[in-house]
Amino acid sequence: MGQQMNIKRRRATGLLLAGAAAAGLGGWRGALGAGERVVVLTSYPEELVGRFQLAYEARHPGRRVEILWRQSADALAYLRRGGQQEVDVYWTPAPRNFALLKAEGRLAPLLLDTAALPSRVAGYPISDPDGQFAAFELAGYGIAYNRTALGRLGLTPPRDWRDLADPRYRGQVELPIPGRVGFAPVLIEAVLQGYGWDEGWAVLAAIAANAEFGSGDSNPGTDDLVSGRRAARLTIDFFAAAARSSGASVSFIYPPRTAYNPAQVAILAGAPHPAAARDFVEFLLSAEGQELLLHPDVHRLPVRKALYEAHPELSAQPFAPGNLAYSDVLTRSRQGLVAALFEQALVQPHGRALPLWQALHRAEAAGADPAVTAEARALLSACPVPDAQQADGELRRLFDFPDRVPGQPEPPPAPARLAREAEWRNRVEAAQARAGKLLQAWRS
Amino acid sequence: MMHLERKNGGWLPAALVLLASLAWGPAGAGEAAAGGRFTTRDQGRDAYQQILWDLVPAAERERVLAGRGLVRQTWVISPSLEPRIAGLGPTYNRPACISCHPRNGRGAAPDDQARPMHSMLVRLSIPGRDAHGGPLPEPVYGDQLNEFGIPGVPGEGEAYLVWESREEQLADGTRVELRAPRVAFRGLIQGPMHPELMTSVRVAPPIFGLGLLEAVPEADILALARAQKKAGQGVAGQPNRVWDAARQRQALGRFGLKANQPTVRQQIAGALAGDMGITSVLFPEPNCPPAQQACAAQSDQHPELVPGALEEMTLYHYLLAVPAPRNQGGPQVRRGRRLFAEAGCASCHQPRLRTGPFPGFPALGGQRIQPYTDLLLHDMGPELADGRPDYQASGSQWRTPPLWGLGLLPTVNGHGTLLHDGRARNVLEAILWHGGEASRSREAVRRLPAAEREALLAFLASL
Repeated sequence: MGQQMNIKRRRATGLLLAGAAAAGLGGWRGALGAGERVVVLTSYPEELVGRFQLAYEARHPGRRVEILWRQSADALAYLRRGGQQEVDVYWTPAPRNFALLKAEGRLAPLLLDTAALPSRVAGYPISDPDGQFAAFELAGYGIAYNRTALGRLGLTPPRDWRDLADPRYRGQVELPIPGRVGFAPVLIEAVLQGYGWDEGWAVLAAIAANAEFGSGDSNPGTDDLVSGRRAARLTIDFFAAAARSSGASVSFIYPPRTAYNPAQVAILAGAPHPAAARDFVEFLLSAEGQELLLHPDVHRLPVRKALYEAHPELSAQPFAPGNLAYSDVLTRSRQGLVAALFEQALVQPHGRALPLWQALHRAEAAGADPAVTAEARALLSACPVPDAQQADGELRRLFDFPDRVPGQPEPPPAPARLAREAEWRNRVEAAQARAGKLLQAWRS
Repeated sequence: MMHLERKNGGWLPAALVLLASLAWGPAGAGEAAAGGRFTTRDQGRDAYQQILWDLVPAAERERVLAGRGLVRQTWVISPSLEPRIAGLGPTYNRPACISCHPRNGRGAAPDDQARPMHSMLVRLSIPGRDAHGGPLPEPVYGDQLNEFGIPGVPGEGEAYLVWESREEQLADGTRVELRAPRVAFRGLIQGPMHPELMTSVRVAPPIFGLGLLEAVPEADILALARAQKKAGQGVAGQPNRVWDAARQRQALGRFGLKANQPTVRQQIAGALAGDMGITSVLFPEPNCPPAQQACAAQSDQHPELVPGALEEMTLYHYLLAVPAPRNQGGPQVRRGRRLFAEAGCASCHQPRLRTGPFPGFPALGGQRIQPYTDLLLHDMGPELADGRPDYQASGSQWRTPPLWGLGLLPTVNGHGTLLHDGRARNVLEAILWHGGEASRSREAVRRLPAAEREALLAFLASL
């Protein structure tokens, strides 16, 4: 924070000054004409926004970028209640918002030269086929690990999600909660879409057995990883890249089946400065703008393929063949459901699950009857909603996040939703009880 | 209780403080701990952002993290789904603390007049004092130009800098170009400012180590002022007395470029209000003058900052660790430290202080620290003067800025610009701008042979 105390204690005093003010209202105009301003709505952090703002203004002397900041749900509510007449450019990692804004007719055509801009990752679209929004950067998901901590634990670097299920990681992994951490829904979906629902859930449950849960922006996950208190963290790539560039003993790997999720940019249909808006968007997607993504304060993956050839130090290869065709449409369609399941099946019963998983690990290490350990593992790993049920559209809609209005409390959950959650809890408790009995019987 | 170094049972006059500095030997573990226990060994780009979690009680951890989140937060215009981070405007300079304090470090001045100020601001006032002895705000624009407004509220205009350069010659013939800014305005929404307008251009300073500075006993700071006066070396620091909004009385000023803030908490609340238009319990009134009708017509609820948030941000600031100095045993650095003392720099840039009992966070108490400041105001001469009094600080007085962490500025912020308006592009330029009480020190540096000058700069870069 800041400068010095500077509350404005102003008062209009004196005829001379009042006259000057009145003359100003009538005769003075800002030196900056309306065409030299672009109003940008974003949820990017200041480190990224400020760098692009500086670079754009340096390239266009006299032009100004004005930033309005809102998280995705807040931004959508704001644009829907009239903000689209105040904003030129929407620029943010929130694919759902772009799809909704397009469907509601709130976006203008971008009219971009897209020759150097890939429109797909692994065959899945990252930009709007109708040209109303375009991918600006990609966020990759994977595992950040502390090299020193791994050495202390006698572990080799992980290469895939399931490596974190190794019992030697006990208490050493941080796993973000999708209902509470902004980037976590895509991360969890990278596992679920990468392995498939049932196997993916089993991997998540086994990782959770070694994990502490990260619960929000104020969570010290990065600090704990940098300091070595935790050995590994499932995370988004730029968090780890920032720590690495600052000299921390931290590395990051992209599992073979991971997600590269696009952030996008669009021009609002009611943009008050459409020409400036177009110019700003072109700058973001230009070679110069995309190069800025590689700055140590930014650390994002460009969408221009040429930059991957120019920067072989980039370990991410989102456009390489064989990558997961990650679907953000699928993610959005079941985001509420997955968040609720994660909470009820993994977070809330975590305390009861840990000793059961430890007993299972001991039994497996001791060469217990494989039929017993396999059954116990299946019980502890099973999702209370199997693959066939999770695809049910009605179930997914039951868990959709409700639209919210500023100043009004979030509506209470529907009774049907609460009933479902109670049902899942019962299933989890029953599975845990059964696994406990199996493992107890083996011990005795 | 005085916590400065004592010898022979008496308080050290400034000259003896210099001798104490001369007596420093090679760096030991204690000497490398610039912030006492609150010293970080991080020498990288995050060096100004370190919290030493082992010193944070478990019960306080979440509050520190919440404070960090708010400091890094880009604030939102009301109404919002997220009231905890809402309240930006109606007029403001920048939307986040770290806009002006990137990586908790230092802002910079724009290099040419076409560019806006992204990490600095302009204070405004007219002759006279307000009810508490502070500056009298410009009647229409207030005490700070806010360049941005929320949708529907125009920004007040834009300030820019026009640079003028001249050349200085050192005793060994080396030529140094110095530049100084002149502030100008364009697009003023309410027309020209008051004919007797006084301005002060301010670059945002780093924000680490502030808890330790708040924990330095007031008696020690006042004793330093007495010691400097008694030494009769032409250096006579003056404490600022400012308004403490929480205690509703005058208090010693410690923070801000003219020491016009008594506490870290008030400094933060003042910046939230002035730089971002966010009201708090300390400053609950919005910053809209009657003349700015669109601004005044906004109907936000005040204070906008939710209960507890100011305290969380304060706690985070308290705990930001100080980078350890580097290479303290190296011969060039040792030589530079001796030259620093011999030139009289340490009279104001006090190498050593000690913190006293500090109920706000007890672990900050009892620390031997090396901030290189006396927290006092000094006349720095006409060339650095902004001509704008601030409480008891005259138009030519500035508070001695701490030098701890100085050498890591290029690493953290990618530049080495210094002084209140960012005119100095490196440490040598900053020294050459010193005037007034610091004239003798400046001349001593000007006379140094190149090798000794390099040693002095190496020492400063080691901090």
